[in-house]
Amino acid sequence: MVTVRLAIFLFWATMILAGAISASYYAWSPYSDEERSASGGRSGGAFVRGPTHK
Amino acid sequence: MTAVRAITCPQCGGALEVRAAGFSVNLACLHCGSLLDVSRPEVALIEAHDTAAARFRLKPGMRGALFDVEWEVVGALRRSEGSYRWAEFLLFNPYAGYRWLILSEGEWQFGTMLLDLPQGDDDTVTWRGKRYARHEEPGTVRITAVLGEFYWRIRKGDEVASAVFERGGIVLSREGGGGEVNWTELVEIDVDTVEQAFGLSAPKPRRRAAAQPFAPFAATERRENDIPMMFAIALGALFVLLLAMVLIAGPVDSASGSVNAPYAVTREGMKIGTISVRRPHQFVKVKASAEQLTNTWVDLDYSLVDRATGQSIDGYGIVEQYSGTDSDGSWTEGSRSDTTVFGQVPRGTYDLYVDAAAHGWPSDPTAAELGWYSLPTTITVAVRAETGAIPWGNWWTAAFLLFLFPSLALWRQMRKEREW
Repeated sequence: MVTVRLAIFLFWATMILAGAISASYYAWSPYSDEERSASGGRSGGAFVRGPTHK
Repeated sequence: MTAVRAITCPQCGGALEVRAAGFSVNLACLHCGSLLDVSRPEVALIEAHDTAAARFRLKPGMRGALFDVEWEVVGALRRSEGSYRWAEFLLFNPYAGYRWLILSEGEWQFGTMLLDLPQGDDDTVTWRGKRYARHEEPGTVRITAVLGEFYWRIRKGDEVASAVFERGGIVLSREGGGGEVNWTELVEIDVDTVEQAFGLSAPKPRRRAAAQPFAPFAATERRENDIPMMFAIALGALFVLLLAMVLIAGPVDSASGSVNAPYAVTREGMKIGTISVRRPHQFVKVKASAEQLTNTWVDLDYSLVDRATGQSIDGYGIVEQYSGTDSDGSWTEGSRSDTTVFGQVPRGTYDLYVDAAAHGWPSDPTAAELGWYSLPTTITVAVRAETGAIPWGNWWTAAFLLFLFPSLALWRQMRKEREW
């Protein structure tokens, strides 16, 4: 028997599935790398990296 | 109803009452949960606790009339068998003795300890001329919370072996531990009857379970639970999504090459190769890796240039590796490879260009350190571009959202059970 909660979850899962498949079709992702990582910094106009160890 | 003995908890100083004075042996403090020995005139601390006492649907001291007898709640237990949990309340009347009220999945049972013991084996028993069949596999029941007073030594963590026998609507529960076996007859009692008897707040309307064997101690017999179904659906949806993403991502086209990144200066416009995006939009993945990398990072600026329009899509990557020694010993940090993902790349043919610059840490090497002295003058980075990448970040996000709903439902259910 389908409970109200299960029906809501089915709707929720369908929305997520549809959204994720649509994102794949349009090759969209919130995690693409068009911007430089914020873990570095700039010094004198140059992009500076280095270990974060201590 | 009976003489009440006033005592003070030696752990927290809270005022307590022993409601079945003369009968009770143990008392779990209503304020701090500490276990006290109340069998002697001087109250002794058995086990100290400083946490608030667990919440129960019925509290010690509450009174109510059931089956024409006025009962007082003197103790409360929370018990579990595997992941299944329920609450038990010890009732006392000085003329009628002790009884149990059991709250399981919103259903109540009234329990009476048996003096005329059933006879039989682990599969069937006979009691008062009637045969009762075992309902579930025997299990181990554990006490997870104690509150109030009891007529035997009891503490959190105690375990007993449990078996349930059933005939019609009557359940016989057998519990054994510490060299003794106790039998209890359990009969269903209406929710409204209990709540009216003890003056509980008006309950939310509960749907009664369909007619089913009445066995509250059995972990598998309970009202409909849709949470496992939700987890199964979430798992299935993730598998379907993975298949869809693999099918949608293709076709795959790739190009590879390498760049020599010089120290301190940027070498610009090195062409890696050409790839074709054959669908309206595709992900493009660019992977860079460098073998000889020590205390160095290499900045990589990518440009996917559309041959038809001349427009470019830019992205960034970095490979880096650091190592050293400190008071804790040697350490390493960074990764010699890096993957950059371009999203929403439209259909077309693209040339991949890379600008690259290497840098030393903590500072760029001097000219004397380069070349045949100690360091190579450039860092070679292998670059591979590929269409048809799978966006794993999307898949993990979907997994989080799909499992969020049943996880919250499970958390709410467990929280509700704790309040019984």
